[in-house]
Amino acid sequence: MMLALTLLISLLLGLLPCLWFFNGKQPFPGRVLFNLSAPLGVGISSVIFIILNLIGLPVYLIFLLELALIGFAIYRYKIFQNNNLRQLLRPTGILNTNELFKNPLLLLITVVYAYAWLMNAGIFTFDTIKEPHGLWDAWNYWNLKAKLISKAPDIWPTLFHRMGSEEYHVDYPLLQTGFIALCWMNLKSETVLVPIILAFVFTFCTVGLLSSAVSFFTNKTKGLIAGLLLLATPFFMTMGDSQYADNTVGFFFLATTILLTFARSENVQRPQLFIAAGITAGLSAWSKNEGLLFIVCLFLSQVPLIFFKNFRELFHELKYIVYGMLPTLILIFYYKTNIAPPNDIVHAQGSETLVKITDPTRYALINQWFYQTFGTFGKWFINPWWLFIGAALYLGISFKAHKNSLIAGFSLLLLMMCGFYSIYVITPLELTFHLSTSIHRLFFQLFPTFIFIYFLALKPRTSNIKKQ
Amino acid sequence: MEKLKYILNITDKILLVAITGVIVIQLFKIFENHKSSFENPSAYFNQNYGNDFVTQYGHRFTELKKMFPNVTILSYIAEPNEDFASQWTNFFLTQYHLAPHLVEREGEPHDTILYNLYNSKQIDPATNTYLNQGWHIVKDFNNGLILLAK
Repeated sequence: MMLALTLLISLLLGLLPCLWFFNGKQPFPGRVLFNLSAPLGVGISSVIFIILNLIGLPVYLIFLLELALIGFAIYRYKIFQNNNLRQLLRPTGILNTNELFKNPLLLLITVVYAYAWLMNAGIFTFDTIKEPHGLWDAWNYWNLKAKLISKAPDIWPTLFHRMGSEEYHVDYPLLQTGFIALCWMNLKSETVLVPIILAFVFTFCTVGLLSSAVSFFTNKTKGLIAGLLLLATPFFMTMGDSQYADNTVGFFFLATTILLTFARSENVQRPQLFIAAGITAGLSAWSKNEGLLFIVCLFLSQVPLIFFKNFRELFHELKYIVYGMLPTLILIFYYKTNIAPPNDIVHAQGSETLVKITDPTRYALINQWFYQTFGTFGKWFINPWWLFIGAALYLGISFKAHKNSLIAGFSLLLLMMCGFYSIYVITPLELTFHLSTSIHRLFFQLFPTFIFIYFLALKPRTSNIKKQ
Repeated sequence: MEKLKYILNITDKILLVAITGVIVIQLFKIFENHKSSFENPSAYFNQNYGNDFVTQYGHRFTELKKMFPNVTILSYIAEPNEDFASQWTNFFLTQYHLAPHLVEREGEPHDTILYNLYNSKQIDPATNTYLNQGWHIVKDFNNGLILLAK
């Protein structure tokens, strides 16, 4: 009961801002909002919980404050009279069956999608029964720290500080950890159900968000194929049910890109969508350290837009993104400077760095791993890149409809890959070990975002393109 | 022009069916890898539920945890001559199951030492440095976990 209530509060903490982000948006992207709300709520809950806990509030008071916040938002913004909520709650807001039966091909793909979804949910369940605590990183990093917070809420910063960064990666941000700890404290029990539900939400909401967003900007068939590409990738589910945070950070990368595309798909500037993108980008940095790299790359990826749009307009957009991410960034800054020991990779930099940068054998090894990972990506029976290349060659690529989003999106992906590459060049860890334990996961963090940008760039057959 | 549109429409559909076909084959391959679990879920459940290594390992700590009502820092001593992987696994699992208490492998010994002798189960009193220095066994949990204090 208490678990259901805690999850409901988190859901509302995500749903209410989402209704505001998309207020007045026509056509209303109900399915996007549906898939965005729960993970966003988890992120917001985690941030609120850690801030209030650090201030010294007990968990019951945090719970009551969250309830009061939700109550105030519902009363102040008359949520139950909100058209968006009504549209979302209408059955056709989620699934339109009439359209399906008119198009046999769409029906076929929908059936395959439903089958793939259910099969993956089954696999998730089976793997979870086998490893309920998740794999190594899940119990040793995320869930261990959640135990420390939930059982020692007054002194966990001291305990964290005492633990070594190398062994426990205490410098990793606390989105997943914070939310699990909050639920465990409300429940007064350390049930593995909480991290399992969390992993399920992020894994399947990533599929749902990708599918619904591609569907919104292109068409339903492409949306379903986009979702299927994720569902048919075995490693995606492995990452989900292992309870690692890579799907979490990957979700927020995707959400940020989608929200920015929404924000730029209209002639009228909608500040709340840029704020939303800022919030999700901030939450990506609160999920994993790669999120910090993402934020840097996000701003750098906007630089090429100087040539394509009004500088003042771009400046305002970036300003709203900063507003959105600021609270989370302040929390991360406080956590990194006052609680967590220094990051092992950053801390180890010094005179050795120059030696590594000028060592060609490191570049050769990294190139080899990048090439191999592309070649064996996702553990498909054929390399899925052929599908992407084939469809792009057949349909063509067009930047016409979403020029700014596509330029920024492709730049972002490229910069992220360069960022990952650079980290490998300077890593203090044994290079082969570091590459073998992380490169496939890093690629997967970007995979949903890549699929979204790719489908956005595919040339539409009809000319009903939305003007940017 | 109409003919071209018609041909394009047909080729679009063929491409779509081909992509869907590749995805269906891929889904089938995934299913094949999990076939036994899907075919007999109850057997899978009975065989695996609660039998994972992390859960099983945690049962060893139930009694030990009751001895520390407040957050404590314990020194940790592993099995001698343990291989690298087992050493780390045992240490991290101990930390996971004992949280919020901390276990430390390095530095000066704390007031309490936890021996985690997963294989040998016993301390040799004749050769143990701490016992010879006046420490005593607070409790031997008979599962390889032995608590020593000054």
